[in-house]
Amino acid sequence: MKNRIRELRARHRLSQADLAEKLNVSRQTINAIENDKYDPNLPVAFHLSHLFGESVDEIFDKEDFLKSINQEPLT
Amino acid sequence: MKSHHAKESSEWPYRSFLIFGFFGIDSPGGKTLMKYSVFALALFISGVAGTSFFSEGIPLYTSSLLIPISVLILVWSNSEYIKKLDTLTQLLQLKAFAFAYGAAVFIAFSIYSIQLSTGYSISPIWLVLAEPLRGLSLYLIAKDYE
Repeated sequence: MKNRIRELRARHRLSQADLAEKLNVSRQTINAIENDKYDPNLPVAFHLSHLFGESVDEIFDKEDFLKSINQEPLT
Repeated sequence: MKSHHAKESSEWPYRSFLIFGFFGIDSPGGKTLMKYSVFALALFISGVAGTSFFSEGIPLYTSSLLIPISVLILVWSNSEYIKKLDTLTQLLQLKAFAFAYGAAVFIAFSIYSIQLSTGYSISPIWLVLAEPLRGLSLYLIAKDYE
């Protein structure tokens, strides 16, 4: 899923290794998430949201995901 | 100097994948896994050496027991190691184990097939080939997550 982690990480002057250490994941995991190769699990998404002070919706491109599933919400 | 802005290197520990079949001693639980693996290897070698040296009795049976015990230690230490990894590295490691399982089943039935058709007795030690294949599959699978 597209996301703004690289941008937010740069804004907070964090290297991938710094962010990985805070999230307790490998540096390569951060790299894979930034490059849209891997979607993190909910705890990591919430942890990112907490660290950067932005909602999960603001960090991850929800619209892009909704386009990909192409479904109407249940009523 | 740390890079905050530029795209950073995506390198996985490929050398460790090919040599040891895991993320290296710097990964969480890596040192413990390495210690148990060395211990298991020592037991395995002692078992093989013992069964060659002793011809009968308790020393022979004890030596022969060391071989499956060493494999059990490897299985247990790897499962403990996997619990300590994050979800992506767990995924890679488990995919590699799944591939190695398939490779081991293929090798086992190939040996069985050759024995059935030719009558030659082939040692199941060839199952050990599944291990380097696991390292190789980890190497190839990780490429998709760079």
